[in-house]
Amino acid sequence: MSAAIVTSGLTKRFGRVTAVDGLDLQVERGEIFGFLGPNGAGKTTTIRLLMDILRPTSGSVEVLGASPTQPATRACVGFLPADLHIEPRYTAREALAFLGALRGGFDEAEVRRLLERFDLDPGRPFGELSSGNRRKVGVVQALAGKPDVLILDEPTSGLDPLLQHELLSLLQERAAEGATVFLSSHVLPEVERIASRAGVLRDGRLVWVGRIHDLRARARQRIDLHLDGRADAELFRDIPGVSAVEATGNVVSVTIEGPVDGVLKQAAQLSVQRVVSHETDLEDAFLDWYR
Amino acid sequence: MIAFQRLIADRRRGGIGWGVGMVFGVASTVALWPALRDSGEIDELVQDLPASMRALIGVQEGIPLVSAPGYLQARLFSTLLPVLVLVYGIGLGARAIGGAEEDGTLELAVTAPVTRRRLALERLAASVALTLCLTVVGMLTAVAVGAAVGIFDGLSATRVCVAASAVWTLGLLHLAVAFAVGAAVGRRGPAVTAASAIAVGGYMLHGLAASAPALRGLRVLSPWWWFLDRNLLVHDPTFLAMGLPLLIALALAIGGVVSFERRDLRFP
Repeated sequence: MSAAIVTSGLTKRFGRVTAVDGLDLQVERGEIFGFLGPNGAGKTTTIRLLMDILRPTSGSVEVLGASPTQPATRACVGFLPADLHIEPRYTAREALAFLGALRGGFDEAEVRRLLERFDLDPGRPFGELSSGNRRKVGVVQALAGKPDVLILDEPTSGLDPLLQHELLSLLQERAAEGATVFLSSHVLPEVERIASRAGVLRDGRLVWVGRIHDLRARARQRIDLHLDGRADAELFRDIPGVSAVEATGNVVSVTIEGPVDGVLKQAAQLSVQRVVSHETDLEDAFLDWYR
Repeated sequence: MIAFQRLIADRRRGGIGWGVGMVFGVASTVALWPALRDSGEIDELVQDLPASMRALIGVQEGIPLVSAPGYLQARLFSTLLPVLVLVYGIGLGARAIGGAEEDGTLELAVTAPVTRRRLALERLAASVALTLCLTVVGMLTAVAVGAAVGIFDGLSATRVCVAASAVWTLGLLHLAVAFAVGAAVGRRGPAVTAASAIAVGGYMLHGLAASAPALRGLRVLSPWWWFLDRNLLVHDPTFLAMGLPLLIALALAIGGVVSFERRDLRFP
């Protein structure tokens, strides 16, 4: 059986700007693949190439072994764009009915289940919904057809943490049922939580692709330890993986590459009042790639 | 025909507004005819106007303005009816692809399992059908009110229908320009601008050519001249008035669909 998504030498130029540059990517069926990159790295352009909104300058795209220019290919794909635009006066119900009709009809029971799960009132016009509720409409339309492949552009953006969690669980369930999930993100944690593999994009080029476990091992993170007494930076400086330590007053900030295990063990010997971990963005997490 | 039905439903409310405006405009225009017919001096007044003004208000040599065909041609078929149909058609044509791409509402439709060709054709067909509806509303109003004020003593209602069809083809031509430009560039503004420029330019050229001999050769470029050169309420329809606009509209529609199929789409 062919892979779910294959791109070979995929390149897209807009005039003199190369937005995607020789992308070779293979996403297997049934896996959750995280497509990481800061804003402007080319994630949305790649996804638009996968959805036949844009046509490659060179190279090729295959989804489920066929070209996405074929309607039959797109029939198997659920898609959530980065910015969802629906006629403001449509209610969610009308929008879902129309989008479902274009796909031969959504299973109504499935739509109802999704609406309940995301606590979305389908009777209100799209234009009156909060950005989070609009996002929910987008998620429901992408998932309602139970597609074999889900291509989601920053799916959790605009959702509150509870709904982010709900969505990520739902994606895991769908993957367990055999669906392939391709999701882009500009932050590591959500991808780290559910993806089995990830690719990292910088300036349109894939700088790394591999198992999420290996990615985690390379990621830098910063934690602040609030101590009961004066902090001493020297206690942490020689721990393996620690790349920077700074102490101000009672707080010691430690930047670590890979596991934080050693730092926590050292901290356990001190009287720690509070631990604050910072959600680092990709540029900070992967200095080597984005410097 | 899901995209077709959806677009009709989307434009229903606006379409009703246009229809109401059309009924009032046409009814009040036609209802005024008896008053004009009974005042003898209007024709002399009109003869004093410069030739370009006479052409712009649709007066034709040999057909008195106070006669039914003269009046309807000047007040309805040269001005009110085509202006309403053109403005409505240009708006629909520009939004069919250009506007819907610009505001992003087309994105989920093009990524659905529907070919771009089918999507574009259905949206074009819906726009054409809506323009037809508006024209028919105008035509039926003219026939109904015309019958009530006795305009059809010596003028057949069939002629009115033929002239209304010619208005529709003129509207289609401009709708097709707006559609084709919108489908080619994915933006509404250039589509409206191009179609309006052709509408206004053609109208001015038709009027000016009547009084400026230097421009006479150019009037063949004006779709308004194709339509207005011969009063269709008196003369038989010509290929210029009925056939040519349709052929050009067809060519533009094909060009628009082909370029929409081939290019990158630019969603916000």
